[in-house]
Amino acid sequence: MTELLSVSNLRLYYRTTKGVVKAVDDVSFNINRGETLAIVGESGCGKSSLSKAIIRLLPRNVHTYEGKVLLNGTDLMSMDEETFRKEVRWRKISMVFQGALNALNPVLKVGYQVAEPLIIHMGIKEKEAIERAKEILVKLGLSEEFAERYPFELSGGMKQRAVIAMALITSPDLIILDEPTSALDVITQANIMNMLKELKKSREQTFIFITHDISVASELADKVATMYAGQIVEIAPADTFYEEPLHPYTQKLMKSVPTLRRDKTLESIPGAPPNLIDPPSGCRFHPRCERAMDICRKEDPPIFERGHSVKCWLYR
Amino acid sequence: MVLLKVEKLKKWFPMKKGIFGKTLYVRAVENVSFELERREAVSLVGESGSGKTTLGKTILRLYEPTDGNIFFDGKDITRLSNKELMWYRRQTGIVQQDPYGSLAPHFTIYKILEEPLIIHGVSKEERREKIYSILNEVRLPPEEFAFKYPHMLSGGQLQRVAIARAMILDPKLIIADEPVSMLDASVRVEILNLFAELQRRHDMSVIYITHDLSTTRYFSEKIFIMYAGHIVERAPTKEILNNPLHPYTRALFNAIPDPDPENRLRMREVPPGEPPSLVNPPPGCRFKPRCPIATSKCDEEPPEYEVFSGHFVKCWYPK
Repeated sequence: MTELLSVSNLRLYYRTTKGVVKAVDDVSFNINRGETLAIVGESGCGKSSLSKAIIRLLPRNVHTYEGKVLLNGTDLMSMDEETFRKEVRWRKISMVFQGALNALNPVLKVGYQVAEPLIIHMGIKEKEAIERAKEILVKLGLSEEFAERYPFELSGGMKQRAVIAMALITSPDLIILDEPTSALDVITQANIMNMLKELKKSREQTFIFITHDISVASELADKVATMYAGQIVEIAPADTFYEEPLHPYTQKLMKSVPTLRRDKTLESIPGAPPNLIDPPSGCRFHPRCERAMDICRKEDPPIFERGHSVKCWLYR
Repeated sequence: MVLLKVEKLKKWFPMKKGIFGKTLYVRAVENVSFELERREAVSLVGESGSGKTTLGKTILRLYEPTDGNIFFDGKDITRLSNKELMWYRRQTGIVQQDPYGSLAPHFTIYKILEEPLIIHGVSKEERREKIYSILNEVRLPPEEFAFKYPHMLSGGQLQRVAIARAMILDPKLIIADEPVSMLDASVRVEILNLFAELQRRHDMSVIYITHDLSTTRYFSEKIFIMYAGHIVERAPTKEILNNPLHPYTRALFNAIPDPDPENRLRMREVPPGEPPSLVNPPPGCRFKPRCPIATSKCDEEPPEYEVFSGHFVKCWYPK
């Protein structure tokens, strides 16, 4: 398998009135072509910021934006905004934003909106682009006539398909899915996941799948990363990630997730995630960690390779 | 002992539309009957638009029932006037989904909790006592939290305030509408455990409304499954989790993933399509258009069969 995306030491800090928020702090990972990496974490852990740092859609109050991002070997961070917009965003990397299904333009037909990336980013003529949009809609289980409809005529699940179609239409190398099903009902979610699994197989599509839900992550992920307080604390192949998580935070997270098919005792994680302006010294999880040692309070752990990449002193 | 008895309850919302100005109705709840025992916790499970919130609010008389009857403690409360309802309000409480939206932002926590006590004429000393004791029970130390404002609290803490408010008049019944769906997984468990503990300690009955079947086993003795305004299956929790019978319940089960890396290798068997419009629902069984085993018989509304003791299924082919 060839490497598609390689991210190293990525940082994204925001300036706020209360101080500098370290939303993404020294994050590194890579993804092979055709692979899906799920990034799981609780709200405020920086997972959406990470995706925005990759597709480079940044708010005005950026304080620090640095690191290395290689797509197919091309260095994206050294590109100026104009080149990035023309050559990368939407053409090579597209994104399904959280809640995007509710952000469709109510006065434009769905077909046009799905076709828009082709018209704007690839310079394809509207008529041809809409034809392509129809093809994609059909592939995603909607019929051609949906192109002629307006968003209000569609259900949540249909709108989500349309939004995914939009991300897919330019045949990008990488699609970032940010909570693509969290607003949907479970049966609709299952239908969307089936569709994404199909895309993974038929097009060898590469995904970054961002979710707060460890169960849903397992629907698509070949690799899973746990994010905590702006950092990736564990990353591993799905099989061992679920069977034997190593980082104490991942372990706790697993124990807090209810399961339908078997009974287990649920545990909560005491305390709350730290604020990202002044994160705890050493390991950021140490104030909530039962197994914290002296060194955890003092020194930031490096990443240890134990089959999993795990940022924890226990695996020294 | 039965606390709440619901008989053929119906709630339709009028919608002024249609040709010749004919009034159409959203048939949100139809023909719902069940009993709730004292101290019993029941989960009402359904997808969005299934009518579960409407059912909850109609039971609390926050909506006027269109038809049917509601008995509480043996008393028919279906058509009580607003004045008579004061008594019922004291017996019942509600916890809503969004704690950010359901607590007044310009009130301190103390004031939020005091409001229902003032309305029900509780004296000043007693109010203080009650507020402090309930805050301790939901594990928000009053010295620290009583005079804070909602925006100073986290989502989990706010939901504890919402629970405290629902409980402050010692109700016999609480309806909790998706109380944890906006919270992170780690906080969710804490709130559910706390709620279960309070329910037992205060001998309350609880209807827990949720779309998330996997949290129900930790909380309730019975599960009711709702689809498009009907309760299609109800049974003791363990029974339904081991032996779901209604085709819709089975579809729901198939759709929900547990954390399992094998998931990525298999497709889920789920019905295509979406729930029907409640303005113009299919006649008979409302799941028929999506049901893999439907026949022409399903154009008639199926009765509720008691397949095993306490396990009811509203389906012509319940096995």
